[in-house]
Amino acid sequence: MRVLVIFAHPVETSFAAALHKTVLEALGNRHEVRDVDLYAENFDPRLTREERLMYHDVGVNEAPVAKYVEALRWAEAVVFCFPVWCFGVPAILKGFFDRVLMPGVAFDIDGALVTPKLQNIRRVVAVTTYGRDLWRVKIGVGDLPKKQITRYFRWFCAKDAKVTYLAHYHMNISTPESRATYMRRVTGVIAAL
Amino acid sequence: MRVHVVFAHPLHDSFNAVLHETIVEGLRKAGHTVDDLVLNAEKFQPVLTAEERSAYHDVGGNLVGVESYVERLRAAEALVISAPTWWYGMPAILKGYFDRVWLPGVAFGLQPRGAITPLLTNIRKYAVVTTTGSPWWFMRLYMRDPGKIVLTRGVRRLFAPDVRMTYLCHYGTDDSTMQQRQRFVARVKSTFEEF
Repeated sequence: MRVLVIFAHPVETSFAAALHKTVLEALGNRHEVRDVDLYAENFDPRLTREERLMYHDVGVNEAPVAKYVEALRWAEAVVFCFPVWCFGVPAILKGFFDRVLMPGVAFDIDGALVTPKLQNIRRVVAVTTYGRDLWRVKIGVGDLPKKQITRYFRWFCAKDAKVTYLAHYHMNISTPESRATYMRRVTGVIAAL
Repeated sequence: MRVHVVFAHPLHDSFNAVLHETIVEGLRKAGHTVDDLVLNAEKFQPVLTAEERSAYHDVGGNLVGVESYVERLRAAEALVISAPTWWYGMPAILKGYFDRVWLPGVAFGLQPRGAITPLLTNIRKYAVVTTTGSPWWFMRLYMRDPGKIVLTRGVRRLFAPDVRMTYLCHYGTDDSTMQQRQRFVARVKSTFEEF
């Protein structure tokens, strides 16, 4: 499969970086893999004035982020690897959503009719960590990052696209065992792609 | 009252810019002192860096580079967030403002078992003014308005326990009429003239 990995964390020695490495290792060379490390690429997440003005101008709007648009159209699977900070995805990944997943790329708008455009993507996996516990994230604050990926991003993909959302909750009190267990789960899911 | 307004939108002539202007004018008319932070005009850099992430839990030491934003937040008696909802959440520039400025020791304290203590108890009034492209029924029934929940439940918890909150949202901006928008602006105007 053609797998696009999108990674967002600045620290090389972080647990997120270890997860990213695990993902790449589990993919091995059984797939064609493209790895987008947003921090390493110095991705600027700010939608600019020019981009906002041409946001609905399909075709022209994708020029500033053509490289990422091409990768999304190429992919059959997408793996998002990121931590949850302040109830959401890191700004650098939020900006990837804002700037890249736009009309003509993720969806087409024709009046009130919106159609998905990333139907080449059949498989989506998220690998993430939360500081807080599951109960507080879900009931307390509605789990925005999960909804963005499992309900919204998924909607742009193939109709029967399968989504797996893997999360280690309550990182603030995690143990080496809890992290190792989670790491094994990630390896299992990614290796089965 | 000292009101800190945080605004995010790349266009100075957008609907959101009109809302922002209406907020600031209304607050001034009501006699408040306004400390207006326009993230896009300042070219605010929203990406939490490796150094900042490494120092994140070092209370006090984590302020390097964002001291002025922290000071303004601590000096506020009220906070108003003015920004569109994109991708069911805040624009990246505003998300990065939370990532980089709302730190442990600033916005919250972390207890050993992972519980959170609110630290922005100086904020006694709180308002959010936003817009969504999607219609209200899609936002509320299918998506359950996760961006709203983050701002009204998650962020609100960091303020004074009896904080008064107002959430104003113009749903369905993708195809709303001029009349509907004007009605919303009028609602924002009256809200902040009596804030």
